Amino acid sequence: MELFAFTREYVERLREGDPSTELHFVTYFDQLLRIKLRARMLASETVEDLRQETYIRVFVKLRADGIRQPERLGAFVNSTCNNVLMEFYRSSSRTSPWDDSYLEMPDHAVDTEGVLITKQMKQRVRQVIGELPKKDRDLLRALFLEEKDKDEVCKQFGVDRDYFRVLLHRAKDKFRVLYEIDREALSGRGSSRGAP
Amino acid sequence: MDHNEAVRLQAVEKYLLGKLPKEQHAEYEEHYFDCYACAEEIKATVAFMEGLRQVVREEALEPVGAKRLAPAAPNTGGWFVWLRPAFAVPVLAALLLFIGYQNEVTIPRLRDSSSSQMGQIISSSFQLRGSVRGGNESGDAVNQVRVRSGESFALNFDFTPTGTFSEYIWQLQNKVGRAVKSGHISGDKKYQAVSLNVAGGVESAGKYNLVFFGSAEGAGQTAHESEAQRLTFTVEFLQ
Repeated sequence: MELFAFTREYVERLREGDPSTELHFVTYFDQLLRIKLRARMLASETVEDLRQETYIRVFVKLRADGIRQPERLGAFVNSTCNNVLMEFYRSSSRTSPWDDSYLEMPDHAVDTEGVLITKQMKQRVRQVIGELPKKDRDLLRALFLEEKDKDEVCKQFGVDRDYFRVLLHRAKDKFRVLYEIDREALSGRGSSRGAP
Repeated sequence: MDHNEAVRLQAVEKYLLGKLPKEQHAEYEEHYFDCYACAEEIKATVAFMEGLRQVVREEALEPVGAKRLAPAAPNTGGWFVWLRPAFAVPVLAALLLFIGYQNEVTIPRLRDSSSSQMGQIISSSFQLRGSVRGGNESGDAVNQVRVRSGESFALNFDFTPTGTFSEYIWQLQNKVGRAVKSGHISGDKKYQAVSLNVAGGVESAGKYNLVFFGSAEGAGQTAHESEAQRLTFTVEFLQ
């Protein structure tokens, strides 16, 4: 996998409003912001509002003052989102200004509903689970279909949560290989560093 | 948290499954925003989990006719061998016994049970809008629930009650205000997106109110004056 890094030139183009850089920026951070916000079990509308607010503040700050460490643009976006979250929770309750509970995540799996999944991705998922042993296939189906308590399902199958997590990790790794192949084929691009 | 530690901890799965220790949440979030490799990793894992969820649900909803209902006939003697009385009669008898058991025991038991332990498959879910007490009573024009009679469904909504209680009691009230179903919801769910399963659906179509009341710990009774949230919707039965 070719790594991508945010550079000073990239940040300058973003500040200047270069459309392709803006598009790359939003495309890159969109899903990360959704993952972070949905991990807090927030309603979809709230996730959208907070995501938009984060972008607005990032662009305002970048255009006004820039950023000292362009290579840490990601950390800047994350901390901006944290500030937006803190203000949201403050306005919703009497949380103390020193209370960092807004950073905490509920002890639940992240809700992935709404993530755009293509037919090709589903095909790859089918391919991966089709190659698993029957017990592992049935375990994943039980966990992702019936939405029962995961501990209970694991107990029924005679496995512990670590087994499920490792199974998911291995299956995901296989999926990822296929997913990257498809992505490379789709984009038709070779390796590149820095901005698109 | 650096990249090596994130990989060593298998942080991505733990984070997405809600099993990463709380003290590592903020560190890992900062890391995946800052590390291209981990950002791609978490995006791929989310895609896989959601793809898996959709695939298993699609498989569950496939028509029965799409699957093979009987084993393939053996090559020797052709499939007519199954129709020979020596074989067909005991098989049919066993089948009749099985059908009788399902009709008399299993299905009534499943119908009667309202426990989530039975693992009812909820195939329909509906987003409800309108979230404040006394607000949007006419929201039923927007909140439509279209299901078959007796079909279980899920109601998805933002739980934004007024007041703060450790627990809330919910009632599903029909158009005359009679509670047809009820339950509890933890105060921890305040300001969160909630999905509430209505197991067994409702008996009649029409307007319903999902009403939440604050319940003080140890109070023992619902404090009706503490109505905290009301959501209105209309049920329409599909033919």
